[in-house]
Amino acid sequence: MRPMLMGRAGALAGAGALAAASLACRRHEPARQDCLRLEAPQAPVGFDVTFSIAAKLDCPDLQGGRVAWLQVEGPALRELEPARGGFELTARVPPLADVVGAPVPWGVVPLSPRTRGEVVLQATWTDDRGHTLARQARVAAAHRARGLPNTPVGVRVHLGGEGWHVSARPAGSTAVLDTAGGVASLLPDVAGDWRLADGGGRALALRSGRYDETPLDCGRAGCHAGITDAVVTSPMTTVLARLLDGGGEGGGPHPPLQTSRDGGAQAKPALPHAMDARPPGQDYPGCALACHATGEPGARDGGFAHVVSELGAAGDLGRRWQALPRDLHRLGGVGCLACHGPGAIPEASARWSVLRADVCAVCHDAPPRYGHVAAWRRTAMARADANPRARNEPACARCHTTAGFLATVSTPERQPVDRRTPDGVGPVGISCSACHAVHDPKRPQAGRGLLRDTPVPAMLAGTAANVCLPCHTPDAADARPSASAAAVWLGRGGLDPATGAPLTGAPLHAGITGGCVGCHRGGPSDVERGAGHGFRAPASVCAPCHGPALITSDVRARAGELWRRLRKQEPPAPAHADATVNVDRRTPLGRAAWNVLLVLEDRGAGAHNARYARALLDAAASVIEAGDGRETR
Amino acid sequence: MTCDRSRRIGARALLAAATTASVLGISSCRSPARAPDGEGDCADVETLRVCWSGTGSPRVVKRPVPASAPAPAMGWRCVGGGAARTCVSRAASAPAFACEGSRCEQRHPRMPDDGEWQCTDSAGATVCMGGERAAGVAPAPAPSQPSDAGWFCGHRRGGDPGSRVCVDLSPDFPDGRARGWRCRTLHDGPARRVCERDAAAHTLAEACDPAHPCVDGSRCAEGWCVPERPAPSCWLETDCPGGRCRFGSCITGGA
Repeated sequence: MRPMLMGRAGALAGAGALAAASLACRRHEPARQDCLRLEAPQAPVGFDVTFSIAAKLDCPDLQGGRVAWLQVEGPALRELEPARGGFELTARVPPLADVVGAPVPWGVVPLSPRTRGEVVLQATWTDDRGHTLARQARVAAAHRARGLPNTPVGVRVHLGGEGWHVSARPAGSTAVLDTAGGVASLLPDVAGDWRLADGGGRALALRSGRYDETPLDCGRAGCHAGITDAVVTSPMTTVLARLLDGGGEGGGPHPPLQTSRDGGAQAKPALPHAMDARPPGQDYPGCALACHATGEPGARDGGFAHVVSELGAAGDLGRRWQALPRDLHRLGGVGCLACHGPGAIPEASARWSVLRADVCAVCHDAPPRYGHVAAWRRTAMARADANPRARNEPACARCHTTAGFLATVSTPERQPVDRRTPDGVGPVGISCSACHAVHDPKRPQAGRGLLRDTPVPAMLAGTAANVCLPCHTPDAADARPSASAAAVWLGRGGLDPATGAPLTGAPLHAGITGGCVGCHRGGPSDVERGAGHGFRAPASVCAPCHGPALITSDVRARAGELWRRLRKQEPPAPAHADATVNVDRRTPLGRAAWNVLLVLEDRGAGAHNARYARALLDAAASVIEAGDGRETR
Repeated sequence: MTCDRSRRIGARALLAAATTASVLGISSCRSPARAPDGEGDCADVETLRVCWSGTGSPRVVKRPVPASAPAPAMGWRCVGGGAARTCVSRAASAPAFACEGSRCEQRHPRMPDDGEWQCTDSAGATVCMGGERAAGVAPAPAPSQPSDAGWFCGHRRGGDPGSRVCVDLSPDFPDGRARGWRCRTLHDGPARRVCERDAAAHTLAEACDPAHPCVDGSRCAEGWCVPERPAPSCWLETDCPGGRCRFGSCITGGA
């Protein structure tokens, strides 16, 4: 019978179906299933290249038959060709750009579990006697990459751009640039400094190193002592220690990271000291090492998994944390190098790259299980700096770029280096590190989420701090109000047109637990965790108090009408970006215009605080309708 | 002396402990004998056990090691005395040496704790200096104590605040014996301990007599070269005004 090639599972189509091999735990199958063995590439195969998998029958009583293949996860493979009754399969990984699903950025290309071209193929063997065996194999195109210029030895670096060549390399290196699918890549083989240049002469400095040779002396006096203090109790620092010792994430039980030997779900946490000694990579903590420790499993990078293999018997993970050797302590957990990379601090001109969400995406972009980054990428925040003006003008950059925001909320004495995004790398957006301070010296005991402690805008003085406030509150000194959601929500920012006195209102929703994200927690439904990073506020969040009926409000429509009446033109969209829109708050009409713009700048004004929005508009209308004309001083 | 009592205890608890011991390669040893001068003044020195009197006079006593199993290739790493004594196969907590010819290399060598250390070897002892805390590492339960038991530690004289010196008088050797090896720790790239065969190398725990003096910083006691009581405080000679820095401790008197 001709081997059957089953189609790719439609329900799992798309990048959203991809899960990280290192994040996914392998299922223990009954021994009989071991009769079918798949010989698949263990190392990354590359993009736009062909690979093959062989299916072998290891039990003498099973002969012949045929093997059918099904791709169950990952980007659609090309040129799938079964041969020898399906006992051999060849397939082609899509090109990098197709897997990433976006233009490949210049320089070091970040790769997450979602974008590293990982696929899962299932082989199902059957014979004429009714026997059936099924096994799965994982193949990935590449290791994950943070997109930083300091990169581990043994992990291939993919380069966006054209015409790359190596102009300087470390002594002893024999690595050469490869090109596949139009993308150049380099596998650093020794530690040291590399100089590369693209066809246009634009230079890129790389620093390669092993994780275990990188000093962890960041906490020296005069360097990052405060940060080092802060991370001692960070859940990221201690995650592996807690898991090995029986605690779970956030102190609770760890989610079921593995399945039991018989393939059934295992309800209790899978902890190694309660298990027999299975080699890492087959069970927990092997399945968690990719994100609960430093380094890339499978790479010879001096990371946790690599050092475990080098330690031999001393690397046995079937013990409690404290019994592990020193080097495993230093690499266990999500420490400095897990995000900042090995080797050395990048050159100043490259430090912008650590602000990319891609650094976090190495673990948090693994849908459907970890969908934080996938959810965020669908938001306007991910594209906040797509407009060059928003990216480059200081007044805009403070809330349209991560670097600008961090500079704004930093204290004057701790201004970070210039980390503006260079041209050619695409939008960085308001990324993870804007809202999450994973090592904030001011908040060493920060709770789950590690949210940044930001100053309260002057307009909202006296209210509780919230990381959203600085960019969703107008500056009273601005010529026109900018994004005003937080001000409207808290009933602040308005002006009495007649007197210029503050016009305040009751903060009707200020008591909602969690503040902004108490409502703005909606996101894609196809991810298990992190959907809240879609920041949508679905109507369902209002239902517990307001009932199932959809809440509608006419405040913005009314604001638009007032603006047209006042300025004889359509409302600006958005007003804060229109330099022609100015209001003179020394006049009643100017103050009325300010109030109208406050409502127009908050697309959710009707939900945030409809009563206050109406009060602003009522006050504005009293002047506009009385004057019924243009602003006068 | 062997761990006779340990064997009896081990036999009673064999079933309960068998799984863990076999997985970890650990064998416990509880010495039936107490050290003569108090447990805190004794140390394993290579294959010897040395105790120091109140005046600092060393005495060599028998070193209890598990007798229930053949000695592991790198030997036992034992700490403590009396009921608190434990021995662990060195291979359970440090990787084996990889040898090529007369040169052996151990990756990921022992260091006192998770901090930043710079180590060197001196006549069969390993001395490490530094100890600045490692950033982004889960804290040890007792940060002031070396997490790798077996080290003696102290503050470095004249060093940076927080700088420490630690000495391991019984470090790892390829065959479990210090004699015949000259070792050093390399810090270029991943830290590793390199030992090279050197029949002329003199170490602690060598046999001694008037014709065969001990290396500087040790003395001949009961026919064995043993160090002075460890009081780690120095890394360089200049850390010991008027004295010498040997095995991490400042000593006075003639060489």
